[in-house]
Amino acid sequence: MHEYSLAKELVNTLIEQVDDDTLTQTNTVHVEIGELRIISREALSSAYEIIITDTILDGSRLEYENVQLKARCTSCGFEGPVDYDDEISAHFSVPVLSCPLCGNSVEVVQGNELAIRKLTVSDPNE
Amino acid sequence: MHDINLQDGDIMARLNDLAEQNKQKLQAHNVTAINVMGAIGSGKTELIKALFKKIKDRLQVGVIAGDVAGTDDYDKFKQAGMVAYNLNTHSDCHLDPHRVDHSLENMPLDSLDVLFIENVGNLVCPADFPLGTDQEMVIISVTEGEDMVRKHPKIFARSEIVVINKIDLAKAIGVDPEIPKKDYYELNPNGRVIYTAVPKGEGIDDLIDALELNGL
Repeated sequence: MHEYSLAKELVNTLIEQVDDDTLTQTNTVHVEIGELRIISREALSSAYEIIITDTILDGSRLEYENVQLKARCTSCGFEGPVDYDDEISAHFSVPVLSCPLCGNSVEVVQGNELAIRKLTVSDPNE
Repeated sequence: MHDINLQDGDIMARLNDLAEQNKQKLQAHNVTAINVMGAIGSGKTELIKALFKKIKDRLQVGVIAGDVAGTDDYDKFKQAGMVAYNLNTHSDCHLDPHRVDHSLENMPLDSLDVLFIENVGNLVCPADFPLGTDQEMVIISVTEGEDMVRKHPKIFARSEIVVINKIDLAKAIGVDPEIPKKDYYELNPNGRVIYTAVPKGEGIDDLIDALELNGL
């Protein structure tokens, strides 16, 4: 259950980077999660809810956006989505990635994210 | 309603930055640090003690004993004569760069050459938290079964050194250690696998070589 630690990082990031007035008005925190990251969204949301209770963020919630895996081939220069064997289970699979064009090894350029991208905030007179 | 974009909201970058700060602190004191990961009962503590015994005459060795609760491992390290710090996470199933930073403040870094950081016994959660060490190794023991690598691919995919421990028991429990070895090489063709049996001292020299502790 590493989601609790990640939720704490998330809340700390918000507190450090956003002023209190904005946080009080925040309804939704939009979080990007890369396809390769092993994170339970349910556990992250529950942990977030527990951490923000009775704080200025109380009442806000997390919304998730998935980031598709993209890789770059170290041999032929291909860059784009890569299919992988996902048969074990979505939660534990770590694909061994190879280039769809030439079969050589690739490096991941997108798909490992965990990032807050934006906040949806109420206007004071709403 | 309106949206506000966050420029620096990357949580993984934040953890990586903290880990990098730890790394710089360790480098400033010329300390080589090793993140030791493995399941409960894989033999992390005894293996660290065995490494310590082999190198203690020429290197100053410290250890951070990471556990959810208690001082059992810490006590064993102290008994063996190691410079040790007990790091209880209380609730968390892994170490993180914050906790390691606080622990470093309690270690005599000036007088150390090598620092082992024994992670909490777990093969899932530690994989998401860089600590800022020079090396990472994962220990599995044959008593955990042949399928450990397949069940926890993420942690093995990122570790350059895998120790398959308690190799002296493999025959008795009917486990073929070649299977996890093969699984690991499929995930990480450039990694290194070392078989160890701590009571017999088997593989300890090879591990010291893999951890690049010979040249220190």
